[in-house]
Amino acid sequence: MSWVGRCCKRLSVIALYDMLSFHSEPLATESQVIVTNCLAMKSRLPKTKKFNRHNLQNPVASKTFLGVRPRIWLAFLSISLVGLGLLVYQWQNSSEARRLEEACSFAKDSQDWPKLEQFAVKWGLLQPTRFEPFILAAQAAEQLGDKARTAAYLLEMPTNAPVPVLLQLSYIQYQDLYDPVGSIKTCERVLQREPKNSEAHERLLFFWTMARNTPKIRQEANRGIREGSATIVTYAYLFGAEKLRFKDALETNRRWLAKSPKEELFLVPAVLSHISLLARSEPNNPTEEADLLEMRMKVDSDLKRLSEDFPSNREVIAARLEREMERGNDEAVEILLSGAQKMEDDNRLWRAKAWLHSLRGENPKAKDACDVAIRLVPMDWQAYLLRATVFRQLGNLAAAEKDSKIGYQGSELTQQLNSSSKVFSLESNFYERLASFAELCDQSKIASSIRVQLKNYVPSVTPNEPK
Amino acid sequence: MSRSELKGFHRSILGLALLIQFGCNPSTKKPTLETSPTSGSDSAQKQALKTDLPKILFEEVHGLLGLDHTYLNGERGQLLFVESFGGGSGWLDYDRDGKLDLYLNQGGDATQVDMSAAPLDQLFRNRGDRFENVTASSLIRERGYSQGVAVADFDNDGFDDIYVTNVGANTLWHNCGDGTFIEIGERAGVADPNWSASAAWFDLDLDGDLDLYVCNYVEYDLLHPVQCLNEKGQLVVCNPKRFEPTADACYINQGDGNFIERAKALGLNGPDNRALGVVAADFNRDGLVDIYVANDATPNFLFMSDGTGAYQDRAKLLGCAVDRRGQPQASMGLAVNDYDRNGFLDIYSTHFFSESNTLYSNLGEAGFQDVTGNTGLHEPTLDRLAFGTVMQDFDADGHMDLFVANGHVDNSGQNPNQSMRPQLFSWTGKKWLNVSSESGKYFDGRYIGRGVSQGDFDGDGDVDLVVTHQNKPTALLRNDSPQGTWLSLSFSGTKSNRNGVGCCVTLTSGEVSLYQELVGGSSYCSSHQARLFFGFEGGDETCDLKIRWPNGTLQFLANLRVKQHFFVMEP
Repeated sequence: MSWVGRCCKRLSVIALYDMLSFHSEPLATESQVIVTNCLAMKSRLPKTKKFNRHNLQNPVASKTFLGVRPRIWLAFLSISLVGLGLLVYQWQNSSEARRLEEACSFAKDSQDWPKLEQFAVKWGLLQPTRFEPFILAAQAAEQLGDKARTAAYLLEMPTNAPVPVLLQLSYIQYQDLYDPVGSIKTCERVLQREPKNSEAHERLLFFWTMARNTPKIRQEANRGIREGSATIVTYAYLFGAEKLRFKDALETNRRWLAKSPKEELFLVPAVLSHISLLARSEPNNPTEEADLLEMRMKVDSDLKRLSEDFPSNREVIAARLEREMERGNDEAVEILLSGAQKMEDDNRLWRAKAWLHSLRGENPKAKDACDVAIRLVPMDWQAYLLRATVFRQLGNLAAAEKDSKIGYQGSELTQQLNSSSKVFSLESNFYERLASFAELCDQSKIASSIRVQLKNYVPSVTPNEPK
Repeated sequence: MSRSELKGFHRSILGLALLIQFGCNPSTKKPTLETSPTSGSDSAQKQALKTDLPKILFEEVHGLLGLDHTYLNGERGQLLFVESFGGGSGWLDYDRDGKLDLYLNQGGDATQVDMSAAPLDQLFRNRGDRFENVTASSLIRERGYSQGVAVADFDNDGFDDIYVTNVGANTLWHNCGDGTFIEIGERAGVADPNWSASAAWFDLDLDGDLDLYVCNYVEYDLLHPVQCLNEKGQLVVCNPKRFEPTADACYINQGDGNFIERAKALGLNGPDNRALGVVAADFNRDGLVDIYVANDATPNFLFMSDGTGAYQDRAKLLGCAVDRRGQPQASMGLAVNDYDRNGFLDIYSTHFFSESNTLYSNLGEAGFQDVTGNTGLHEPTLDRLAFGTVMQDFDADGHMDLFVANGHVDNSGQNPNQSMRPQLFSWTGKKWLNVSSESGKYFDGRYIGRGVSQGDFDGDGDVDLVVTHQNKPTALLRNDSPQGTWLSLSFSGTKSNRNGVGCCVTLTSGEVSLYQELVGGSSYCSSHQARLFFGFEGGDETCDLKIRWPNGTLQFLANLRVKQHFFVMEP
């Protein structure tokens, strides 16, 4: 409550009290105290005297009019005047709002966007609890080509803002303003109001994949499945949380980084995408070749710096673990594992542990670590492949065969997933295979959900990701 | 002074030079050795670590010895897919004079309709001090767009025959025994019309004659070649997945000069079969031959017999279909030997640029394990595109070495990586050490390397190499490495095939125990000399051999003096 409101409320209480107790004398004093206190509230000055009900005791008798003390009359009149003033003000406001609404409508019809924005802003100030003026202002700003103002207006919308408009806001934030964090917040706002909203859910999945954030992808996919916002693509994201890579991830992350150069959320995926790109790159001329070799030499130092800046970032730790495992550097893996205790709920950590144990011939421990990885992520096909190797070394060929089968199916599905131009254009047969794969991984609920959704699935023919 | 004496003299000078060099310069960088407990297999841990300098040395002598050959791929800027893959070489002693001769593929213009003017494959006769081109007198008129060669005495008549893989009908050149050859491919039923790459001779049905496995690649119309564009609309070399795969063929020798194709009937087939490399060997040591196939961009196959003659692909089950991360790779060439001395043959598979070549350690019953990273082979091969490869103990120090021919398929002329440096690695007991820069001038050059084959052309007991390059002279790499203790074996089957393909040998000398097998195929589009080379250190002056012939016959030979070649007859 504003300081004016608090003052008014307190004055009304005093007046009422005076009327009921027929006190008149202290009113002036007390009113003065209140006003002073209120002023002090505003100016943050020390209060001269604190208001206390006990100060109202021992009233002094004075003259009356119609049996009521004049000061009470005065208070009554003051309140009436304030009330009347408020009524007039409200009437004027609503008249003005109606006028502005009409003006907006006219400006919109005549496509006079500057006017529309001007009127809508005024209208919004008059009626901040209505979302319409903000939408109109945003519409005008959009027509005028100012996406930042568009988003700013939409952000001012009250809590009852319509979900489609919020989704539009999230799109502008993501696509035009390079503000994915704002976009995420807007999507989460949508999901708070409509937990089953699939569009916001898919958008979050898309963003976290672009940001190469495996735990967040899994978290959002599982939330969607739990809350009912999951669509068939949710399962593609859930399956591909670790390996699904968008071709434009590096470019997108760099664009985000330009706006927030030190933001961990963008910096980490940008560096990791860059490293992946380096690994795939082929030079076109000797200069490029020299540059490429130099950049490849720097990958380790880049990763090290990243882990110094963001020591608890799981993606960085996972990337370093994978790199060292590829090199067969068991000592480095061991050091990394010892510093990653907070990742105990991450399947990638357990896979690395399993790899280390397997390399050292500690096969029962390796098997246990694979078990944990699979328990954490039941469709972790890489853990199945690793466990197959361990089973072979333990002499359990039947179990190895079963795990190999799962592992290779997962590997093939991953290739199919990454060879598709877009997640939304995956062929139906991918989902059929994914359902079978889920069954192999004892995920029958997921398998049946995929099959149910598959009945209405039509792959997108246009290259669209969620907008 | 004979060639071998000359070579010995060179070695002495070299050894002295090395001694002087390291005696005078204590700061000279020596390879550091890991002395911490090894993380590899137990057998690797038991091995003695390599403690001295890498001393492998190859001298490129094609010019010196008159081996004048250049594989021409016929490129004219059209970036035809077919131009990227040939060719190979095959060692044979076609005239049985005891000196190793050489057959070399030739390409030419892949789009040419009139084949009469196409360049011929070449046969070079080893005259001891030089190689003589005897193509004309041999009557070999191989004008196909050749890719590879597989040499074997398929009819057990005592003379090596030549199977040539082409883009188009393959040919079988029967050695008439008088210095001439006659083409009998179609008559024998092995004139596979597809685009074939590597081929392997081995006795699949253990009937005493050699059968033939042919890697077929993709469906390709030479006269109407597909050209591919990148996203910018520029002409690029096509991705193999752009083409339909062609199933491999397995021709069963009927023993009467005829073959019957039975790949599918035997279960020797699998999905997305774009095969480039093949090796036939007994990987699980059950006495039956297995077939490992290197597929381009899809999982490799390991066909294993169930004992009834039927085969099943068990590569996925046994862990050698894809790499450690579960990713299939663009496999080209294969090298096979027991580098970790656990008595089982390991597999090294060469791959595309940005993909590491993969070393699968054979753990016996426990299948295979990708040990590329653990053994230090991951990063050195990431920026190479590899084809032919040989795993052999080039300096007979008891540790395997690994030769890899590299060269990109992108022949746009814009790619600085089209020509690449070859690589040589040496096993230290824990890691593979890249010793390329210290192993001869050849390794400083850049080439578009393809086929590699091994053979002791100068008869000095060590392994020499021939490397085919595209559009650059074929290299003849004479092994001038100081040799440790060695022993080489060739075979003459009486009941088994004459070449002894499939013979498994365990050599013991003191505490040293080594296992090798005369495998069918391996490398890329090339054919090795049918000979086993053992190198070891710390053994006695003599060694014992246990030989298992393909038909199961066991032969024991005791107290053989080392540093000799033995010609073993089947009992």
